[in-house]
Amino acid sequence: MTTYILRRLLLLIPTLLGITLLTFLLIRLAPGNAAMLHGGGPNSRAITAEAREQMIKLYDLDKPIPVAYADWLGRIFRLDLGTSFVDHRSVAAKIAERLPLTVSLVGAAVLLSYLIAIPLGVVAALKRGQATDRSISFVVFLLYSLPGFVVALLLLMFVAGGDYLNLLPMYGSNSINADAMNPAAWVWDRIEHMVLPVVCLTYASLASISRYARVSMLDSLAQDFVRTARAKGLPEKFVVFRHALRNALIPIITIFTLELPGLIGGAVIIEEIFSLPGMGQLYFLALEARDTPVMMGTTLLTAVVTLFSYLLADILYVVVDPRISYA
Amino acid sequence: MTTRGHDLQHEDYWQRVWRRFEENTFGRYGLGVIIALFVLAALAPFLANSHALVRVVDGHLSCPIFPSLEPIEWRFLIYVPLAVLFYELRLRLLPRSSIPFALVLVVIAATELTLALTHPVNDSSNDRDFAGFKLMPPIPYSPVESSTEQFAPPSWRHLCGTDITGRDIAARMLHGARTSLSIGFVAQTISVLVGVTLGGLAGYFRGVLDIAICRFIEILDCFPPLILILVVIGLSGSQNNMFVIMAVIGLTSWTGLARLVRGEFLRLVGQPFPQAAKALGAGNAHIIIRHLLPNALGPILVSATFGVASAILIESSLSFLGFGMQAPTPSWGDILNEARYYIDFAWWLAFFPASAILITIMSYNFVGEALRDAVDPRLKLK
Repeated sequence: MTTYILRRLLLLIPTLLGITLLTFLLIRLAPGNAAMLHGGGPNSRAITAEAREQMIKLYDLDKPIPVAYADWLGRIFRLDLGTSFVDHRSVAAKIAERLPLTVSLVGAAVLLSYLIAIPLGVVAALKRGQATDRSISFVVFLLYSLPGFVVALLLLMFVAGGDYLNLLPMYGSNSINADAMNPAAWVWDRIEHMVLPVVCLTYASLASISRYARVSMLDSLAQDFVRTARAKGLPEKFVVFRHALRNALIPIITIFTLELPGLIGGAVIIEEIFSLPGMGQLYFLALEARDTPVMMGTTLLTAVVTLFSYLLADILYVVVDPRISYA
Repeated sequence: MTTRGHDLQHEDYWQRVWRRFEENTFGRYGLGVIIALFVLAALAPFLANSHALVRVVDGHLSCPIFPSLEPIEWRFLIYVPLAVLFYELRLRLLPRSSIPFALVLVVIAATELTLALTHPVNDSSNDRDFAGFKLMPPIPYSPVESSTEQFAPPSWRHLCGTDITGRDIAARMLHGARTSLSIGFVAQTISVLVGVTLGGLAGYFRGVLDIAICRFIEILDCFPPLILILVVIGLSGSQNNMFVIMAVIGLTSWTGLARLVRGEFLRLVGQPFPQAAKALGAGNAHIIIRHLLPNALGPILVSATFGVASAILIESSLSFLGFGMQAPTPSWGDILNEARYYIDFAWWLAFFPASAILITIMSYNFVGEALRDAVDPRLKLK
């Protein structure tokens, strides 16, 4: 096991280098930036002379690509992502203060989608082909086809504010007077603000996880050991939960890592709609202001996080299923 | 149209796929909806326009709608029927004779020349108040035409209501369908071309090429799709025209397909038939194009169908975030973006484009599911 994990970690290095190289080339070869070196360019209206100086210095736009890449890589490893064009604060610090919100948002969404998706998938598998299965499949399919931002808009319209139901707050991560609240009220206020964003982020992965859960459960129910368990007269409840479900869960556990890139992309939209001060909003604001250091810093971070989540999936897979051995 | 009742023994692969596809009710409806949407999108200038289709001025019949058409619409009007005609008559047009080709070239040259020499008339006039005989399109408003009727709720006058500048939402929806459908289709075509080429090369030649391509796919897969697309658009700094968006979506979404094609090719290369072809002296290109590709086409088609759905979703997300098409071009995501600010009272601004996106994506997904079951029944979700 240790050998396997070590080998996987070693294999990570070239991919990590590839990610940094791709990010760097994106910055370097972007038409706007190439033109910037010579002054002007299509971005000139959005960027001040000072920012231009900073760009050239930060990404060594005036040096040959290999030299500039090596320099930049060295700084990245020291976690120096440059400073924002907009407020001149360090990109790493800006990301650090916004990361917890996004992590909790995505984490809550993953957790919630598992909690709902697995029972749905199991019920659909047990009632295979019946009306229950068909209606669950149809609803899941409907959810799967509905973009998150559309759901967010509809929820905002009908549940938060507006002329219909006014149950939940529309914007922000806390009320304006949150600082004056006692801790319990503050937590409740935060939860109220997070309900809609989490719901919008949850249901897309909920659809795909419940489909996986259904297929996995069907596979598991068709196995010999389930038939054996039934043949020796075990109660159906026991067969389903102790034998079939446990084995069906193995492939599902790792699925969330595949959902992660979509969830991070979804977080950009959801945070923008609900004005949540998270990473996604940081990225979006940077994009609007053409704040390249922040933009590339967040892009690089999401790529690295995704890479590590793929690694985690592979390792988890070996850990949960003793039948698989890669040693 | 069905082959049911025919000799099932003699149906070929695609006939079988089509028969199985037709048996799937949802798939059939999905395909019907998609075709209907394409027809509506193609005819958009004739269905929603402020100019009359036909009107009579001083006893003369005129068609004021035609001078307002953009060059791309003329091309569409001429080239699509030309292509259909050419395809239908392909057997009668003396095979291998150069005359039909010459005729086609002449038509294309004449069209392009005329279009280059004339400019569309961009008058903001409309024929709604014209008193004489006229035949208006079903929606007598153009998508970019503003009026004083701001935030009119849906009524017989404005089927889907109007927005802050008094533009007719129904007209914008119809013209927006062109944006969404064409971006979805073209972006996915680009993605299929890149994915099949790279995946095919990796699966067929293996070795160093395979390792290089797989590594590249692995790296690209680490970037969340929306983030990658936004960063490319953000960095490119160019005006966001339709082709930039198509290219960016297409060039960032091919990795899944490349993996699939690589897997298929690895499986197929080991089978006897490509080896037999090789033994008969066939070259690599011949084996790939004539033997391997046709056998991998089913899964490619399935994946491409789902891909169109996700490309449409990405396009609408981009427009929604304000990184899509330039302002006057109508798009569903753009209407939704506008809806955000007036969400507390103007429900129609959100409802209609949201339904359109839902219906389109759902139809593509239904077709994809039905195709998957038809192409390979073993893949069916039991």
